[in-house]
This record gives sequence, C-alpha cells and structure tokens, in this order.
Amino acid sequence: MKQAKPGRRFNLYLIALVMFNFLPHLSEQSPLVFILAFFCLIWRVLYEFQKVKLPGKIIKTLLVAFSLAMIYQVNGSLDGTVSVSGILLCGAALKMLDNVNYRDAMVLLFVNFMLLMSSFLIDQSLLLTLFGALDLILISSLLFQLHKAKDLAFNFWSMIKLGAKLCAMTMPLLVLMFIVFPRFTVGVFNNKSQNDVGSGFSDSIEPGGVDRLVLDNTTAFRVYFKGKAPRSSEMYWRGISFDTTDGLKWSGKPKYERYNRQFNVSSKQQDYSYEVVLEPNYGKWLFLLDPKRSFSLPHWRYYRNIEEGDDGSLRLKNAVAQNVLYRGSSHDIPQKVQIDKKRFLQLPEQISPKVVALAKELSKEKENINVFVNNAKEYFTANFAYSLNLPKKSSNDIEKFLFEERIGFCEHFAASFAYLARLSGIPSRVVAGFQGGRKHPYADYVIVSNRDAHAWVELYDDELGAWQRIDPTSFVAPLRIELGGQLFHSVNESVVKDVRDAKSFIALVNGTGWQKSLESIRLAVDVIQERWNYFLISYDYDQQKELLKSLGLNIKKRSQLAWLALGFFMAFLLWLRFRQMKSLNQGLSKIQKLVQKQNKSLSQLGYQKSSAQGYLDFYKKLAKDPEIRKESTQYSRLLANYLYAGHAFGRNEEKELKRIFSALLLAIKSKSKTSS
Amino acid sequence: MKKLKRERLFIVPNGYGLMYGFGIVISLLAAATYTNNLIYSLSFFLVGLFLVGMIQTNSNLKKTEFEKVSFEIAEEGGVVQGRLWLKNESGENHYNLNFRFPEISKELGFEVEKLPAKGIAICNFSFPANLPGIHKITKLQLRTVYPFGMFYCWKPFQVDFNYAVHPKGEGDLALPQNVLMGESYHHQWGSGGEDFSEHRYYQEGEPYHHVDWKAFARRDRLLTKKFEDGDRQNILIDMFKLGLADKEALRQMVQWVDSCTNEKISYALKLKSGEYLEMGYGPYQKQRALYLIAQEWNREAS
Repeated sequence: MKQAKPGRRFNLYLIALVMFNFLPHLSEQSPLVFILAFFCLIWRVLYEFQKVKLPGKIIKTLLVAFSLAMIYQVNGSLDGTVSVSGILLCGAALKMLDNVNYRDAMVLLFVNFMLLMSSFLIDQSLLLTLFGALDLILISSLLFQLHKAKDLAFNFWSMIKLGAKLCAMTMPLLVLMFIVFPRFTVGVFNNKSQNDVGSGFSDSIEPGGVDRLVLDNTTAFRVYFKGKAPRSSEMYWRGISFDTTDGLKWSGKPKYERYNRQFNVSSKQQDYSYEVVLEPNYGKWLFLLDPKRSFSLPHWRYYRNIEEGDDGSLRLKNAVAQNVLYRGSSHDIPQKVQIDKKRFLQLPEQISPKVVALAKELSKEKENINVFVNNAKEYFTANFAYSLNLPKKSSNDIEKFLFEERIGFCEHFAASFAYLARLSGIPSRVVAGFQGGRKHPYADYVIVSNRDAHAWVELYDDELGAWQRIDPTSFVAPLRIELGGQLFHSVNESVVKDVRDAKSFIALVNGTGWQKSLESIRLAVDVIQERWNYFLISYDYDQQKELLKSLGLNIKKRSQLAWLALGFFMAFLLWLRFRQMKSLNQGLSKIQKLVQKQNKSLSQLGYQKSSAQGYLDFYKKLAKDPEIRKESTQYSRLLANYLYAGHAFGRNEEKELKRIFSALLLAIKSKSKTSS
Repeated sequence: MKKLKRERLFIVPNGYGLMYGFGIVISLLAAATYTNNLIYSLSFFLVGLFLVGMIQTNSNLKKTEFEKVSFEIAEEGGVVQGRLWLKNESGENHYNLNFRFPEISKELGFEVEKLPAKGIAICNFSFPANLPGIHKITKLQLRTVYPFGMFYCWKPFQVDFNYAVHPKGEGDLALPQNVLMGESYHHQWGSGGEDFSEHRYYQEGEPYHHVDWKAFARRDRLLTKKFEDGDRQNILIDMFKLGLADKEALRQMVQWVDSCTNEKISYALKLKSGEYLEMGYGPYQKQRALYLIAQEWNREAS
C-alpha cells in the first residue's frame, strides 16, 4: 500500500524532532557531531523552501565516511556506548538529507526511538526521564500525523493531544510490565563505555591528577548506611592502589581476576553496612569503605562483570556509563595478608642521597612502622603546607618537593611519604579514592563528591601481618580530613588560610542568606534526583518480590513472574479490545443526532434526503432555490465545519446551528405560503 | 435460527511493523545488557504502542461497509471513471482508508481521506481502460495502515458489478444514408419540450415506447408520434451490412456512433449477436450503444 509523500510542514516538524533528540547528547558527544547535524539541518530547511537540491549519492557517501572517521578519531573506536550513540546521531543527521518519501520519514521516526534509548544509556536522571516522556509523545504524534490523510488539517496541538492520548493508552502496560517483567541479563552488546570513562583515577597517580578532580563538585556516588555511619573523617573510600614509584609519580597494575563471591570476612564486631549508588562515568572502580569486609551486587549475574585486584581493589571489567548499585560492609579488624615485600619496597634506580638521609633520620635506622610514622608526622606537620594553588607546575622531583617546594596536596604528601617509608625498609603503597562524605541534611544518605577525591598511604605492618592506613595529609591539613573535601574546598584558600578549627571554618563556609537558600534548593533537587536514581537502579528481582508480597502475591520463582507478566499482557490486550468495541459501538455524536432531528423536520416539509445523499449535497441542492439559498448555504457551511472539518461543537455552536436552521425552516414555510 | 454474520477482517504487521518489532527486541536486549530499568520502561512503552497501533488499525476498518459502486463507460486506452460509496457504521471517524480491485490491479489503490462516524463517503476513482469489453469485478478490498503504519489491515468484499470499455472508433466508411426511413424521425427523450404535431404508421426499428398506445387503442393500428421541430436523419447501423471483420466492424460502429452524436443524427444499432438498440440520439443513446458494442466485443473475443 503506497503512502503519500509527506508535506513540507511535516518534514520541518520531523527535523525539529531529530534536533530535539540531540539535546541529551550535548555533554557526551564531540562538538563535531553537532556541527554536522547543524549543517544537515540548514541544508534540509533550504531544500524545503526550494533554495537548494538535496546532495547526490557521492556527497552522501563522503559525508557517511567523514562521520565514521570523525567518530573513530574522537572516541578511538567505533564500539562502546558513546561511539554507537555518535554513529546513531550522525546517521539521523544524514538521514535528514535523505528524507523525502514516506519510507524515509518512517525510518527517521524509528531512529528517534533509538536516539532516545541511547540517551537513557548515558543518563537516567529524572530530568531525562521527563524529556523522554515528552519525546515519546512527539514521536507518536508525528507517527500518527504521517498516516493521517495529507490534506486534512494539520493542527499542531490536536496532533499532540492525540499523540499524548495514544501514549497514555500504553501506560497500564508500561506500569504493569515494569513491576512484574522478570529482569534478565545478557551480554549481547559490548557494554563498555569509552576508554577514559572512569573514576577520574587512571592507572597511575602523579601531582596534578587529583587536584583536577577536586575543582569539580560533581557527585561521585551516594551512600546509604544501614544503621550507624562512621564519622566523615573516618570515611576512606578505597579505589585503586599503586605499588611502583618513580619519585612523586606512582603507578601500578594489580593483577585482576574474576571476583570470587566467597570473599567475606567473618567478624563479631559490628560492621558498617552500606549501599553505594555510583554515578555514571565513575563506573570503572568500585569504591568501598576501608577496610572492606564484604561486597555484594544485586544480582548474581552482575558478578561476571566484576574483577578483584590482588591489592583488594574492585573494578568493573567493562565500565558502564550509568548508575551502578552495590552493597558493602566494613569493620576495623585488620585483614592479615602475606605479601611479596620486594614488590612493595621497589624504588627508582637513582635516589637522591639527601632523601635517603631524611628517610634514615625519620626511621632512626629501624624498620619500625611506629617510629617512622611518628617522626614523619612531626616532620610533615612542621615543614609542609597544604594548597591546591601551587606556584608553578609540579615536577616529579621528590628531592625538590621535600626540601624546596614543601607545598602541595594529598598526592604529594602520599607519594613522598610512601617513598620515604620504602627507603626506611617499610613496604608501602599509595591508595587513591575518596575521603569524607557529606550527610545530606534532608535525606538519609551521604554524598561523596569529586571534591572528596583523595590519596593516602598503606604501610605493611610486619607484626600484625596486615596493611595499615596512614594519611599524611592529616598531618599537614587536619581540617581537610575532619571536614571532608566538599566543605574544605568550597571556599577560597586565602579566605580560610588562618582558620585552625572546624567550627570557625564552618561558620565561614555557611555564607550569606541567599547562598544558603541556593544550597538548600540544590540539596532538595539532589534528594529528588537520588530517590529517582535509587528507585530505578535498585528495582530488581528482590524488590519485585517484596512489592508483590505487599500486594498479596508470594513469588518464589522467576518463572512465576514471567507467567504474571504474560497474564498482564493478555489482560492489557483484552482491555484494549474492550475499549475498541465500546468506542466503535457508541451511538451518534451530539451533532449527528441534532442533524438527524433537523432532517426529520425538513422531510415533514417535503424536503427528503435520500440515504445515499451526503448532507452537503442535500443542502447544496436546496440552495438552488433562490428563496432559501441564503439560509441553506449558511447552514451547510456550518454543518461542514462541525461534521467534517472537526471543529469543536459546544453549547454555543449548537445554539448557532439551531438558530440558522430555524431561519431555514421559516424561509421554507414562507415560500410554501407564497406559492399556495 | 438466525446465523450471526461475522465481519471478516485481517491484520498483519507490515515491513515497518517488523522493523519496529526488531527495535523492541534491540531495546529489550540493551535493557538486559546494561541492566537499565529506564530502557526496560522504553521497551514496555514500545510494546504498548505496538499493541495500541494494532487495535487502532483494526478499529479504523471495523464496521466499514461497502454500499455501491458505479462506472462510466470508457474508451479503450482511456480512463475508467468510477464512484464508490462507503458507509461507516461505527461511532468513530475512520481515516486514510484505501480500496482496490485486485482483478484490475494489485498495486493500484484509491484513497479515502475521511469516513465520518455513522456517515457515508463517496469516492471518485479512475484507472486505465486497457482492453475493450465488459469486465466483471467480483472482489473489492478495503485497506488501512492508520494510525502508525505498522500494521496492514484489510477487509475483503464479495461484489458483483461490471464496467465497460468500448473499442476505439476507427474506420473511414461513410455514414449509412437514411437506411431506415426516408423522413424525419423524432424521439421522445433527449428533446423534451418539442411539440406533438402528427401521427404516422409504425415502422420496423422504431422504439415501442414511441408508439402512441392510446391511438392504437382507438384505431387498432400502431402509430408513432411525430413532433414539430427538426428534420432529423435516421439511420440504422447494422453490423451485418458492414462487410468488415468483426472487430473492425465494431470499431467502425463506434466511429459512426460518435459521428451521429456529434451531428445529432438518430440511430439504431443492430449487432451480430442479435442485440438491438432502438432508435434514438444524444448522450444517453451513445452510452447504451457503446455498452452494447463493448458487450459484442466480449462475445467476439470469446
């Protein structure tokens, strides 16, 4: 069945819809993609107004090749979420130059569904969900408009109204399926995100890595503690460790293996139990409260994507650019481990004699961890200052840092401290992660933001046979640790330079009235966002069971859920069928009833409409009589509007139609009186 | 017992429906791969829209009835003009319907933009007139893909009507001269308003309804009415007397029918099959003559 070619107005709406679907990708895609889309948009609009022709096959092929090359160049590959989204976006943009007939319009509308899906891969925020709802209404409306006869009125709002109505009809199925549809996990697509989407920590740490992060107050993850929560200063969220030093630069590639789910240290002590909702783009490393005791994921299948390093760190094999939920617990009992000391005593080939001398002084030539830590603490407290605003670019020269610059931040202190420990014969490593977390004032979770990014040291205690966490930053800037990074970095360093206690600092930070109000709004929005994220991410099989149990359905197997979903599916179909029959069997509309009544009156006067005759034909015929022409024409015009053109027929319109019909009747009656 | 008559409607997903279905599968797999509840929701929405689309497409055709169809006689190589009456017995407007006659063409379809609820739509259509003759139509199919274009729904009707295509007029023979009568002849229709002047005796070839039956009752002899105006020529176009091959003869006859109509000559038609058209002139006479010629063409062809 051949469909008509869409008109200009439809095409303009369609390309506007495509551009609308580009919006969620603004943050993640290269500007080149948007430049290409803009170029295609302009070309298409000019074509619609007959200013230019659409490009030929050669130009189109070149544009496709250019798009693919561009995506590859920007993202380094053609797979992964961002690349695939980029290809889809470029495809949609180029399709605008191709969209001439019905088939192209249909393909472009379907591509819009795919674009929305790719947006959901990148972000699941409430805002994007609302955007998605609007987008679905728009796509459905245009899909509907495309199949409405071309010559019928193109009314934007009535089109949207009908699209929304059709979308609303799908809601019962959406809700029921969301509740009961058994969630399953497959690995059909390569679910890795782009290469550098990670925690902000790479495989090495060097001066300048963490300070870049702390300038940004974006939320890294949110934590729900079940029961008691540790103090902010005790919250060390361990990410990755580095065991190879080259001065201030530390690197390391722990050996990773598939996560062994048996790992769970038994403890009689009370643990800190918590759930973490990791934000998208932080999805490579999983940050666990140090020291970790247990770790679990909502579904056993998800473990396939988890790897555990020999340093105890956990990471996702394929980082996904979406929220990740995991659970963990922590306790204070050190975990005994056997280590290869040589590995953790590694030092560069060339070592400054001055630094060696300092290490000897700090350790008093004993390989005792307590002696070293106490002396190092004194040394760091007395000689170093904490600042993110370093006068010049930091070098990798540890001697320069220890004896000349003596100013830095966590990375500098951790790297130099671990270096000195190794020189003193104490196995050490640098750990990167987050320290701190801000309890949300209106909700029961802790926000850990980029400003809490931190680096510290772990020293191996021979006596205990376990690693011990030492934070050299706490020697230099105790307020950074006590307050956490979010508070500490929220004001300019120069303002709080001489502040020594937490209370005075907080008083400074609290700021003026409007700043407080803004912060309150930000936090309130954060609660809504978080509730939504948590709901979306945590709704799994267990939650399904729990919810259905509260509704009186005791689900024991997944297959029961599948049957329930099938049942709801069938019920939805029956409901649709029932609605259909009801609306098809409904009686005459108000206008139709009125017209029938009026026709009856006319037939009593000898003007009978035949069954095969349309209303308009009938009144046109009446209008041939000059004595009733005016009234008949007036009446038939109104009738055409209400019966066929879809004009609203309310109380006022009914009155008007009745008035004109009365005039027509009067004209007919007076005509018959005259003739008799 | 009265047997319930069920409406026969068929619905299948079309190419776009299959493409859309594939999109749903992709969406579900993506949801499962990324364990993304938002994409699961999108998938359920897409499934819902698919089902809504299916039901709505079905609704768009339900309770639509075929009322009648009429054709104008067409010339070979020209265009057949037709008119179709459709009736919507449901309480909902129907949009963007399409009908076709599979016996004429499988591709050719005709649009009906709107069929109002409880109303009638009259649709004009045309298609090429290829072969001369009387063509029978037994199948009519009403189709729709509205509102989403993902389902193809159709409703077949068993019908019984004909359309006629007359052969193209060809031949250079001169018109027969007053073959029937050597005097003026007036017919009753097509020239309303002409005044009666006199009677004359009935002759072979004259239509019976020109006979003045009242006069016959009085005088017991068949008389035909004569009217005032015109000295119209009357001719009999007799296929036997043409001396041409059958198809050529029919083409020549069409040519003469055209000439007679243009020159306002009255004519009667006599065909080999024995069919006979009474004397007359004007467009109605032409229609009847061409129909009989088309019918004769069929007989010749068979």
